Order: sequence, then structure tokens, then C-alpha cells
Amino acid sequence: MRLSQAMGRRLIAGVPTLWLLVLFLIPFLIVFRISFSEVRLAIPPYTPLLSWHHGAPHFEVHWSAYSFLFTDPMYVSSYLYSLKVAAVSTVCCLLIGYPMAYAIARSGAATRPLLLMLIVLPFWTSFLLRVYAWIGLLKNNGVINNVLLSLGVIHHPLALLQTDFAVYIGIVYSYLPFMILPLYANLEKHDPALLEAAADLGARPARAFAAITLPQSIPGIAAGSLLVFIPAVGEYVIPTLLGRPDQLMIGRVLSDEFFENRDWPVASAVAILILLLLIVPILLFQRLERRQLEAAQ
Amino acid sequence: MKPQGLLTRIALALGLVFLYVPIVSMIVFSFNNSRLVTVWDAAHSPTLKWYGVLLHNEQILTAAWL
Repeated sequence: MRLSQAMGRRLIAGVPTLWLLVLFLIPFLIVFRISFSEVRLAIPPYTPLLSWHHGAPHFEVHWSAYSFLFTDPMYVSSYLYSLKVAAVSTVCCLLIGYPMAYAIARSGAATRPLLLMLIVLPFWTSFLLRVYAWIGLLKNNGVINNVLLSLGVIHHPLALLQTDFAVYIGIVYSYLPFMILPLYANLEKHDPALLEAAADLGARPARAFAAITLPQSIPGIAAGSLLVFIPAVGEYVIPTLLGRPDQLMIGRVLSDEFFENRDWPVASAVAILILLLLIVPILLFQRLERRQLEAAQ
Repeated sequence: MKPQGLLTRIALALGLVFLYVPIVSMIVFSFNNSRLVTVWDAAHSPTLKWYGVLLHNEQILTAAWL
């Protein structure tokens, strides 16, 4: 009985491990390996890592894909721009999402499921369609400009589309629920008795919030921020549809290298460097999750 | 406690408006007669014209498994 239980446990843990191994680790290793080759006109379009010369194995490791990324300032500027866009969007998501999550957590038990439903419901529409809808709102003869013009607030249409602002709007819009849901899950667990005690002791609401609610919600803030920041760095669709044509985000650079230039080694090197950039926040996120799991047990 | 509750409620309402404005605008302008997506053709709208066009578009129908 004991033995079969242990076996069953190992089997249950083994399936996701196998899943990760096959669908994450192996593709990653393939990309990693391609990043150390050079382009050539062949199928596949990169040099082999291992070849045979007169019966002897011959290893060919090229660093050119990586060194190339530092010769053209476009790559470095795209990385920095992506980090900036992701950071600004994360802060905006937090500033908009925190009060929303707080209001949902403090709302009545009857309205709470409805409000949560309203947060999740936009996901039922295609992500792409929602970004296209923003084009319709932001463009020169779009809804926002038409409304402002007809109200007489402005006399010339504002250039909203193809700006950093449009990218922030698109990313904040698309990822806001990812900020709200973990924040709500955290805020909902807070004990209202602590705030009542603070009020009894004479603390104003703002002081009670700063001393009690905010510190307790840090795990929620961190989880939400990482859920927004990590995918936002590699975002491809939103900046392509809404963003500036003169400043690319790194996700777009990656896709252009792969599909337009057919330079698989450089595309792979770009991908590996994105991962390296994200490894610190990802590790932080994992540590946080582990700590939360331990706290839950 | 009360005024803070009101402020967060306003924030929630504004946030929900933000989440639904693109979706609602998409639905509204689907009844627009004009070929310019976001310019409301008041004389000939609302209309089901684009839904009729959709029903005759084989490619979209097959993509939707109909």
C-alpha cells in the first residue's frame, strides 16, 4: 500500500515534469544550440554543431550571432525599450488594478462573483480583436478623436496611434486582469478585524492602509507585477499594431530576424538574451510562489 | 472608511469602463453603414449590412466551422 502510494505520487509529479521536459526544455535546448551556429543557405538554414571530418568528430561553435547583437545599436536599444515599456505598463497596471482589486475584495459577497466575472469576461473576445478595436479608438479619424473634435475640446486630431502611449494603453488593457486577479486573491484573505483594531486605536484609513493592508498585499503585488512584466517584455502583437514604426520592441526584432531575414542563429541569440534578461524576475517569482505555498501549508 | 470605499468604487467603475470601451465600440460600429470603420454614417445606420456580408463570406464561415 505504502509503496503503491509513493509510486502514484511519483507518477503524478512525473507527468508535469515530463511535459516541461518535452515542451519546454528540449525546444529551449534546440534554440540554444542554433544560437551557436552561423547562417547558411541550406535546409536547415544554419551550420551544424557537430560534423564528421575524415571519420573524426568536428565541433563548430560560433559566437557570431551574439557578437552581432552588440555591433548594431538597434538590438540594444530594442532590449532597453522593451524593458522600459514593460516597466511603465506594469506600474500603470498596478496603479489601476490595485484599487479595482481592493474594491472587489471589499464588495458584498453577492456582487463579488459578478465583478470577478466582469474582469474575466473580456478574455472571451479574441485578444487580437480587442487590440484592433483600440486601433479604431485611437486612430486619427477614430472614436476618441471624433468625440473630442465634436465636443470642441481639440481642433486638430491628436496623433494617438503609433505612439508609446498607444503601446502602453494596449499592454495595460490586455494585461490588467492578470494584475487584478492575484491582487484580489491576496486582498480578499485579509482579516478586516486588523483594520477595525487600527481604527479603534485612532489610525486614519490612509495610515491603516499603509501600515496593514499594503505590507500584507506585497505577495499579491509581486505576483501581479511579474505576470504583467514578463509577457510584456516579449510582447509582439501589441507594439506591431499600435506602436511606433521607428522603435521596435525585442519581440518584433526576434520575429523579423526569423521570418524576414531568415537568420535563425541571430533570432535564437535574441531569444536566449530575452530569457537571460527575464531570468531574475522569473526566479524571484518562483521563490515567491514557493514561499506562498509554504505559508499556505 | 466610507470615503475611501467610495474612491475605490469609482476606480473600479472607471476600470471596468476601460475594459469594456473597445468591446462595446466594436459592437456599436458593427452596425455602421460606412466603409470607414469608425466614422458613423448617421443617414444609413444602424444597419445589419455587415452581418449579411458575413453570412455570405465562405472563408469566415468555414473558419468558424459552420
